[in-house]
Amino acid sequence: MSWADAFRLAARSVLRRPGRAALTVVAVALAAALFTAMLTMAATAQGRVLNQLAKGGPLAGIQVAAAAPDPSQAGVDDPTKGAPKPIDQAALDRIARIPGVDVVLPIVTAQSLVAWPGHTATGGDVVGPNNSGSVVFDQLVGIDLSRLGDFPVTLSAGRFPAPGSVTQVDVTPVLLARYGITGTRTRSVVGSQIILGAPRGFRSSDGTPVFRSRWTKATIVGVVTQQAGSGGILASLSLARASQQWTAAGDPSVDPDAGSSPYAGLFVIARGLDSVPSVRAAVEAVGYSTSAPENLIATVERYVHVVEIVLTGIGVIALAIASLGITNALLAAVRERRREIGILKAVGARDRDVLRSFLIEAGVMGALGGVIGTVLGLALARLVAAIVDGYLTSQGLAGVHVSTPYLLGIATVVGATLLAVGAGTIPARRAARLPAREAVEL
Amino acid sequence: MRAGHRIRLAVSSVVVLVLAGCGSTGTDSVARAQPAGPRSTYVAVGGSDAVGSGTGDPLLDAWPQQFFRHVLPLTTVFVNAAEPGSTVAEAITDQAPLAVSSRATVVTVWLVSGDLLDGTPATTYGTQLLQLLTTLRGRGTTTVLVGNVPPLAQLPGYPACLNGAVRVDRGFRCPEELPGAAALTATSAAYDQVIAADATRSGAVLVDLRSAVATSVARGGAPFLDPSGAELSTAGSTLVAGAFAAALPKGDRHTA
Repeated sequence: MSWADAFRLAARSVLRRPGRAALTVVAVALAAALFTAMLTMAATAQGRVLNQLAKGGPLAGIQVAAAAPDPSQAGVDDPTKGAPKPIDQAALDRIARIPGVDVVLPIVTAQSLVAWPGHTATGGDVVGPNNSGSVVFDQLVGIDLSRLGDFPVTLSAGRFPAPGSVTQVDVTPVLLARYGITGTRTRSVVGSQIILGAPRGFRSSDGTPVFRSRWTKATIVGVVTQQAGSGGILASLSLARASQQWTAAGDPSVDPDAGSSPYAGLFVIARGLDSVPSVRAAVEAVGYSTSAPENLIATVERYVHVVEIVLTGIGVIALAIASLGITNALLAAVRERRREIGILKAVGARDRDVLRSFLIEAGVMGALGGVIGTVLGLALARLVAAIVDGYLTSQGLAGVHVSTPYLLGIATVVGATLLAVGAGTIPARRAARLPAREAVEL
Repeated sequence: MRAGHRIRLAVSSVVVLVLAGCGSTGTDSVARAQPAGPRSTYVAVGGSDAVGSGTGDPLLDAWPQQFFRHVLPLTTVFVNAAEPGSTVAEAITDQAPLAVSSRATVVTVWLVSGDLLDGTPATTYGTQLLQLLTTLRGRGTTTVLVGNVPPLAQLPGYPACLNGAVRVDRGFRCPEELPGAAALTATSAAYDQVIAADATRSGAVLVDLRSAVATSVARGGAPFLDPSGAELSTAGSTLVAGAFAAALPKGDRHTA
């Protein structure tokens, strides 16, 4: 019997019992769908989370404050800081040379008046002679916007400012709450224009202290939750640095809080998760207070591992169910087709011909179920992602977007086919070994 | 953020990513690098009217702030160097250095009330103003706009001093003997002449506030001064900002 004959025989067998074949294909499809989802979950957990933890990123970052370390706070994730200590370029360079440090990202903060025409603030430091509420006092946080992935910053609406832009900013929900803007209404601020004023203290010729501000116009392009620095406005380093330098150049007797540290803090990314403790210790030896979510990372790792085990378990169960379904369907087919098998053998079909026919039948059902299951699994993933995305954005958190894992789809179809062939081996061998006379007599 | 909440947030993020079967693309949320573009700097030199003392919301309604917000390009930086009650002589020492060190590309100057009510002679005023304008113009690359004197009844401070006030603002004190209306009218006319002459000599742009205010009053516009008569009202600030905006060369204004 040729391969073509074996294919024809298998196809005829499937078409002769369309109901059973369809049910078997559905069983494989459901298993494949579950398998696709589980495999994607495991891959995502591994790729997006564990690798992130292992190779650096916000969770493996160490925040360095412009303050001396407090010896009594050793080993604490978020310790109380010691006396203020400026971070200058020399200190940054020294920290960058510490073994185990991948990159050092500066954070610049600047005092800022925020004037928002048409809006009235009710909370926080409302400034101005008449306290009309349109101008509040806040902080501008400047980071390298080309390295956003390394900072603990989460976008909830709009987009991030363009790197280097001096006219685009993001605002935080904390700032918006001062204007009474909360929940889904935060999205509406994207596109608004605010005026930012960096104050500088002067003394006029008669000795009177006065403040003169450096005002800039900025468009709100997004809403973010950020922990890079203390402040309600996220901007480029250029904008924050210009504001910080304007304020720092003022008369310290008029504004003692102007601050002389060029950098409000640093974000140090260690080369690996294991390097975080040693890098922290080295930075503190240089003379700066640090904070890092070491305990948090360890806890998250444990949670991620649990999630992995659960997902793997579900995937294995799905595989087992699919295998049993195919085996059961083919065993039933063998029982029903004993006479047919006997006739085939009586007219000269060999054991391996019968074996081949059953394996092809199993493989066809597996492949068909795999294709349908993969499509179903991806559609299910998109549906879940859409629901989750809606929930997250309504909570002011960053949403998720679906990408199509083509390689995974192909692997699932191939895997389902091989699984079906494997599951069909026992029934196929039983059919192949069936003596011709016994089969015909039944 | 509490540690427990952060753990829940981190774990829920993991589960969300896992359930969604995908990761955040990230690329859509980051704008392409945008060149900052050439920045212009605007400095306001003036007295209490430029600080917005008589307006409802000084930090937003002062006329230089309105001028900055509505007329100048998005990339412009604005520094308000004005000091309440300042005279031209004081501005030369207290305000002009800031404009020069800020490398101002646009400067507005409106300093008439302090000198006029202090009795500074027109010739002295003219000499000092020319020095100020010349300093601000630098090598001629800075656009300087200078305003003249509004009608006497609308001169900030004059109605207040006329009503017997002594101190109308933290930096301005009414003269012990207020010159008569006729004398002040004559002096203000002389001021206008020297302002126009100084503008021509220094290459500054004259802003005819006298005509703008007179036209607004004739049309029955909103009060130019606040109820005390000491400061510009919000409407008056808007009028002054509009007059300066109208005089601003096209190359310096917002084009969008």
